Amino acid sequence: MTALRTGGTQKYLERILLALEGLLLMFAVLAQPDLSLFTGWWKIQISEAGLITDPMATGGVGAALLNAALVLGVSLLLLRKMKLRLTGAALACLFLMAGFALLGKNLINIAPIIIGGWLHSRYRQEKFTNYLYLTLYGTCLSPMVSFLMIRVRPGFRWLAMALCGLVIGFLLPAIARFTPHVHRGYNLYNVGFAAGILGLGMASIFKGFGVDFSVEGSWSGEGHILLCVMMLLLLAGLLAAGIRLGCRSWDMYKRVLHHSGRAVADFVLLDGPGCTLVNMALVGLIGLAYLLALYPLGVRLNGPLVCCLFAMTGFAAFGKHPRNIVPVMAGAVIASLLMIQVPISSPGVLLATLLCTCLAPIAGQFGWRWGVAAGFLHMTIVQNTSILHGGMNLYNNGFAAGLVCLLLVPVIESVQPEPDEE
Amino acid sequence: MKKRMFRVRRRMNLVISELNNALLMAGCREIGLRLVREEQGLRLYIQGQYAPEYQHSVERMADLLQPEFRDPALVETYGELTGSEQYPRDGEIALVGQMLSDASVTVAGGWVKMDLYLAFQQ
Repeated sequence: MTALRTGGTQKYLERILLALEGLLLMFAVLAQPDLSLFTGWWKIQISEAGLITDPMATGGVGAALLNAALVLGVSLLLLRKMKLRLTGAALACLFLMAGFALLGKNLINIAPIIIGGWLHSRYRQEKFTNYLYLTLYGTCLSPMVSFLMIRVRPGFRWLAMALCGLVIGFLLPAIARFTPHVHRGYNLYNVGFAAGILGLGMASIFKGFGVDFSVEGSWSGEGHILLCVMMLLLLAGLLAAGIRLGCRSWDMYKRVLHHSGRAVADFVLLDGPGCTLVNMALVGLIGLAYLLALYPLGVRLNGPLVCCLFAMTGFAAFGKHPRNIVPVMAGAVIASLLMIQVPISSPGVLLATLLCTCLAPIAGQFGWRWGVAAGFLHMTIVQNTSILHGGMNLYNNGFAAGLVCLLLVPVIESVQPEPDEE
Repeated sequence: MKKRMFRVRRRMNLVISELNNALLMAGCREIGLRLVREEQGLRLYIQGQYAPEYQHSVERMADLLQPEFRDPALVETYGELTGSEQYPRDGEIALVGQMLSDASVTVAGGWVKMDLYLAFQQ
């Protein structure tokens, strides 16, 4: 808390986010230093975005990074306009927005959802500020908006996409406020769970009217070196910034490792921004190291994988740390090694291995063995959830994780001995 | 903005539940609560006598209940997680701190005294 009391800290955090924005723009130009950067970006805006579509395959590496920079920029502007402080929750939200712009979000498909969230706040006669995180997270259903924009016949498509986005933005905050009761904070991607349920409902209704959500996925392998350099620069920058903000010893940092990570574990509020930034760098590094270790199996960084690294890094400000993510990742890896249906280097499995870390609080609260079990179970369940919402929920792993919690947490609590209290 | 008695009453219940648990876990032998409905909000006074070995955790609680700034979006997103857990942690106390409109907490002589306020208009 003391670190937050120094007035400049918020400005410093804001500068870090602006630097991230600059980094994305710089690498966008480096990757596509010609007009194709803009034509590629436009192509991303008007293309399908369901799971798993790589915008780097659609418009090019640079165009996808430009898209991420712009989505981050808009989100940051909204946060500033609403005068929200940069807490761990805000950092997690912004990193997720930037990351998922590399896996389907774009300025066109998120706009109607954000307006829907604003309408929700108007309806409840409250400030939009209160709903900003829920609304921004809610843009994970943006592929549905893109799908209608492309597949509905001309003349109706803009109306269809706008209506769909407004409905999502309007309904999702209500569902997302309820879902913590189900997983009780053990799923860090709460809105992913809520969006999975809403997506399931909407996809079923659409299916009843003859609209079947199916997307041809894409997966690029270009730009590996460039993306590695970008990620290393980002993580090194976070580490340096954390050290500069006061996290200069193991004793200081290890306070973060003592949290279970169960929501709400806002590390900026609990341990200050210095330790948080160092933790973000370390968690991101674990994800990157895992992917690089799979290089001999043909794994190359691309949009969806960088998205996962951003998600891991961002949520290291809000619950994840090395001690609680490693057991869960290990469980997911064991599952993928044992099951022939899920080869370890296939796109969906790679995403699940990195994003199953949203179950890290289970390891943090109940110990590493249950963490491994959660990761294992997640890897099996997530293979079957995408079909329920037609691949339209970008936070499919959050949806699966909610189901894992529903299945696992009551069992754990029933077999765990009651804590001794005096 | 609308005056929100219903919501504030619900939130106050969550605050009371969370702090009751936290104080009992801090070894309190005696906890006094007084809830006052004022013109513009609800005010909660809590007094608790804690065991000396919990000095640090009570001070930490005081710190988390009086944050430098409050994030209303965090409260709207995760507020429902407070109050239901039997074993409160720092994170939930921090969330309670974020929920409050104003808080004054003093820790001295084995006693913690809290003056917590939730305004109807937020």
